[in-house]
Amino acid sequence: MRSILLTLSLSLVISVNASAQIKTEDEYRQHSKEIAAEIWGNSDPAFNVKTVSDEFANESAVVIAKKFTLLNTAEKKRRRNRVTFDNTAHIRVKINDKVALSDYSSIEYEKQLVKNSRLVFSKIYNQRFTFVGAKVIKPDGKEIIVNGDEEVLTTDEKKKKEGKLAISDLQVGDILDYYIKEEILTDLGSGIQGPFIFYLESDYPTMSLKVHMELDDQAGAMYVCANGAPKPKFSETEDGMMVDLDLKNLPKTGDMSWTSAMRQVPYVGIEYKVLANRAEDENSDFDKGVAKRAGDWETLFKNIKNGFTYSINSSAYNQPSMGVYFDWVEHYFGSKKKALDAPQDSVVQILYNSWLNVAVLNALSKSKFEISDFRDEFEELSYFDFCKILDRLKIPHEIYFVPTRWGPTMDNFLLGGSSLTAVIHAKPYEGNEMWLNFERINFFSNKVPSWIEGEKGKGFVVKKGWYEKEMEMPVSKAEDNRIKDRLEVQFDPSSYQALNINRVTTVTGNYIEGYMRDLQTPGDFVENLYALLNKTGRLEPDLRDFNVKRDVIASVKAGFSKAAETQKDDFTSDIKEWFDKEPRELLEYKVASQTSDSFSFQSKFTMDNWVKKAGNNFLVEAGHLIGNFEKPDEKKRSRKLDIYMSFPRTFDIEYSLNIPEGYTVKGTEAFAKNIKNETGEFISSATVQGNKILFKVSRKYLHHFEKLDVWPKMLEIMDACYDFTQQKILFEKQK
Amino acid sequence: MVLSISQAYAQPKQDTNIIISSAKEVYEFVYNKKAASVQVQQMMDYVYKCNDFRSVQPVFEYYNDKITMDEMEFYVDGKKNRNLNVKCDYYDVDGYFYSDERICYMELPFARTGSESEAVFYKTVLDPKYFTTVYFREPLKIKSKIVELRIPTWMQVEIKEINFNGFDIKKTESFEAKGNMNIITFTIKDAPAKKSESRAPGPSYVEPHLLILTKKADVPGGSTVNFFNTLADQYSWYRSLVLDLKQNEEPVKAKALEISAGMKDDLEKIKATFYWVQNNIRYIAFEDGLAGFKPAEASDVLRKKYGDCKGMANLTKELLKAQGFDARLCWIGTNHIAYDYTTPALCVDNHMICGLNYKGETYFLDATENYIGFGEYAERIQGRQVLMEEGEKYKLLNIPSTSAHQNLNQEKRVLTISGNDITGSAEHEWKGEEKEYILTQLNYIKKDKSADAFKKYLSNDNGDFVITEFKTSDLNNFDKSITASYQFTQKNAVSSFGKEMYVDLDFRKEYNDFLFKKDERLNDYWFTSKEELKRETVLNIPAGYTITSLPKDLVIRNDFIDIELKFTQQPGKLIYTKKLVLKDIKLPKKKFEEWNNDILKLQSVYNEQVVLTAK
Repeated sequence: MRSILLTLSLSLVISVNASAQIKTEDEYRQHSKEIAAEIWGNSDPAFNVKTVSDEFANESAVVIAKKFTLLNTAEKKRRRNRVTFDNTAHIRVKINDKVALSDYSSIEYEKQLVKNSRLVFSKIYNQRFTFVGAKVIKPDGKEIIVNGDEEVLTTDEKKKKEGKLAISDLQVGDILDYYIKEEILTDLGSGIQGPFIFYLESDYPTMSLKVHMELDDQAGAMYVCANGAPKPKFSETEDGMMVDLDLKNLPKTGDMSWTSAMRQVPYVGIEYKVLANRAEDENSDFDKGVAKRAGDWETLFKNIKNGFTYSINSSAYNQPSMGVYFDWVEHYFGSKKKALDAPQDSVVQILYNSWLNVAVLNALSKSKFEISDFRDEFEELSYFDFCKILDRLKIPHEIYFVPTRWGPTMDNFLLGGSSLTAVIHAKPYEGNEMWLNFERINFFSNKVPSWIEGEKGKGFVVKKGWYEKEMEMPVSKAEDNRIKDRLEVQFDPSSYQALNINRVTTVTGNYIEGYMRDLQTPGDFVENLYALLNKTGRLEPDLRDFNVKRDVIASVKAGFSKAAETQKDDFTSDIKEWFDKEPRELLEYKVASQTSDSFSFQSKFTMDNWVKKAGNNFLVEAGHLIGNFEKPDEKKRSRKLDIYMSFPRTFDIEYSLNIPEGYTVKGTEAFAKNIKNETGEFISSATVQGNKILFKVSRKYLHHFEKLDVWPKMLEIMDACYDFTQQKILFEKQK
Repeated sequence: MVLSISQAYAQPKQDTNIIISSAKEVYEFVYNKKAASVQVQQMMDYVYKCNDFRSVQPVFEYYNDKITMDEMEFYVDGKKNRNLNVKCDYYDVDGYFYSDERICYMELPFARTGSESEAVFYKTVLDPKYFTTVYFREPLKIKSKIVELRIPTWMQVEIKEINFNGFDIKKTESFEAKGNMNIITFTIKDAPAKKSESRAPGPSYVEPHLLILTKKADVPGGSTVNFFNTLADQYSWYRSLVLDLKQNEEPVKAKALEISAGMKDDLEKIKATFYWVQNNIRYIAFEDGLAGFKPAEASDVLRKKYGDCKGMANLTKELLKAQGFDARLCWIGTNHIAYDYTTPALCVDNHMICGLNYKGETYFLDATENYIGFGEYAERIQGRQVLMEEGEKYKLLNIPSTSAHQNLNQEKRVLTISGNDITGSAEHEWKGEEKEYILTQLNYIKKDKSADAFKKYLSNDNGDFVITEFKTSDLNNFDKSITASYQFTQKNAVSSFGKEMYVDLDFRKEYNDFLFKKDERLNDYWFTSKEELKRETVLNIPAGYTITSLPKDLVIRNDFIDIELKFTQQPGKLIYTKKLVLKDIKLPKKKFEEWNNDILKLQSVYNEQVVLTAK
């Protein structure tokens, strides 16, 4: 151990971050040679392996060794805030097929980014140089170093260079050993470095993974070991601390459908910060020379609270343009009443929708006419301002900050990494509690977003003085998130070999926003919003009040028309996606209604190829009318991870199929299924009623998360559903 | 980053809100005394008008090592604007590892309805050889556009007007005494926006444009400079680039001997060499100044194990030459280009292959087609004219055009009914470009997943189709056709009702949904390649059943496709044969209706079941 340290110390003197001296291409190349000698001269046995076990013969590639080295130094005398970061990724990989050959055929890198400046007589460094090297090891052991002169520069400016290097002489069966090293030198202090996430599973099996960090004694670190990953080894050195991770024989990633990678794949995450001065020492979450387990609620929450305080104090509430708006709210949305005197639950609902109205006006003022533009603007609006209004209207409320189900749990939260979703919990004195979030734009829906359902959040009760509070977000029920499909199906009278379909679909809950964004025209969206706010026809005056220029106001209609031009294609795409088949012809389509609780749309179209002639009879592939459903293959059946789904959900489908005169029906019994278990249900039937066959299907998934051991129960539902889609009805000609 | 910009710019968001109200492009041949060369100075002046709502319009212009960007000016509502954020950057050309193509781009603002903004670019083509075409249309509607060519009398240029039919283009000619200059002016009015469609003919087939044939210049001072006065001039220039190569023969010869070690048969050696290049040289395209036309040295390609078409052609040639064969470089324009060598210009070709003269026959070897066999030709080069090396002279030849049979895709199945399931065996064979398609797809999939992917493909992605005893021929040997065989069970393939069983004999239903929306598509449709699909399905009739209904046979023959579907009853079995032969890849728009009618007839057979009834 001591001798390795000595070697590293020596190497620091020779080659680490000599980039301050690099002024010419020759100097760059010279330093590049030193780095190559250092990295390839290292006697790490993992990088001397030249053969891999036969067990990997059928793998596309095998990572023989992967090592990440992160070195950091800081100016000791503190005359400057100078820090260096040397980050190296060194990888040795056996190429077994053309996919891997293509994956590893070239390296792209930002060779140089220099933003140095001068302050009086001092040079202020802020630069990054990247060095790459690659060698190919042939099956006979011969090593060929790729000539770095063969790089091509796609950007070749004085201060910025970007390069590409095609790996020469690389063939299937070879081993590629390459590195990318970046050397950062800055006098501007440092923010949080990382987080550096080291997954213990990747695209290819990995025989050896090592992480080695040497941090200056002025740096503090935080780490997580998520999903069963081992803890790195931390040790003190004379100059600071070292972090080491040394793992062997890591598997490749398996099937990742219905998973949440950051909650299921083992990984080690590390971030660190070099602390510049005493003031920063006192305020920072990092402690010099200390490596702390991250995910500390108190630390995290302290930052949020600081941000909240700052934002409340600098609230746009006092800005003139918003002031007009807030006055309007306080005067009960422009009426003669005072909002303070109105029922609080209705005030919150109108307030939320009028907040959405602000987002729409913001978008239109920038000539942005798409619904996605409205959403982007909505997300930009301040929660703090909204809380301030609620406070002025004396409506009790809390604001929570919640990790998403698709990111790390709060216990594994790193400061430089994932973000939290904010949600306001309004609790009027009368009426129901309400949940408000600005990352979705369905009209006031009183639900937390699906991606934080069931997650524990932390927040404030916003009263005089703030009280901290934790709360688990409510989880929706399968009935809340429903796709209700009603179809009337008839044989096309011209041929009997096509089906004419009238479809009315109503979606609720978490389904609303996606369908609305896909199918609704922006003009109709705005019209509905204004109707909901009882402001029909007020868009133009609103825009004027919003100081939007006259020419922009004049062009809104044209902008809406342009944005609506794709609606027919959008409906066609929806049908194609649902049935996995493009309609021969889409005859009619429209959005029927839109409220805060549901979104409803209608279409009329013709489908070919689901009716087969069979002598004098017809065979109808009636099972397809519930939509496309793929049978889980063997790999999916043998899944190894718990099941993460978007949200609990219900598919409530009913359709009728007309029986042409002169025909009788056979085969309805095959459509009867009855699977019901703790994960959900698939219950279906087909019955003849008069001159129609009525099909009823209820498919439910009760939870958004299931443990792996109930996967066979879920498969029962999926198998029943797939089997239903394959069933046919015979229309037999009466003799 | 750059790619995303270029993609976004390739298809403007609006083509009616912003239009080009007027545009002028001026191309003037000048003699640059300092550089002692003829150059072409270009000025592109585009005025854009906003019709409906405030917006921005991405504007961009390309340049490279041979075309300099000299100056740019922008005007917003008549006022010169120097504050627009103009960026000039590397242009990531799709499919190229590196090119010298650069792009300057910015967004022109339109503050209100009726706003007009203007972009003016000044560029210089440093060598007139590189000035080959002028296209009229843009991805935006054009109200009026002028293209002015200013050609001094000392300059000989031939201008060909191509695809003018159907467009309002007027031409005028005048003489300007001051510069001793002929001025040719074309004005196009009310040109609709260009629309990009998949599988459409290349723009040189359909877009109105000028083909500029730069012949020669009697430059001021008395000397004459030949550009591409004749095809011989063009070949001579190409040859000069090849002669410039410093071929290091030793490693190439050593590799050639290694490849053919132990082989006695010439054809065996030739094939082994071709397949070695296909298998071991990665295609990486460079388009870098002269390197866009000059092949890389064979030894260099051999060492790097990558190259573009020119490098791969050169290595193939040198490897064959090292074995004593008469191999030559060939320049060729793929079927993306409308021209041939009757109009010598740099735009008439875009590809290079290796030609081989052997025992009185000429073979063409294109190693960029990674999985095609020797003597098989990809559609994109079939029938195309090639310019073949022949010392100081050249030879003009044509690549053979093969029939659809080259690309045979054959399947034979024997089916037995077992309850509501069907069990059976299947054998497949793929040749030519069908083989190349299969192997290309399989090699895009990781080794550990490729067998499953192959089975999924063969099962037509049907979850009820289970394949066992799966065997293939050597998928690394593409000298022969590739084959696959397997046993299978297809659940729920039979619908039984009372005494009757209904069976769908056609599992694949090729072309079933291949209908054109003839009112929506603007261009002809060009299929990727010709193909011959042959299917034979033998159904063993279960004991105690007879066939009571069958689809009718179908025979359709026209210039594009032959469709033959036959149902033949034999004792105890029903034989269904299908032959679909796509004979011509170029389906004109005027034939869409006929095509659709034929496909609907095919559909109606596909949509009919075989009915078996218990006796």
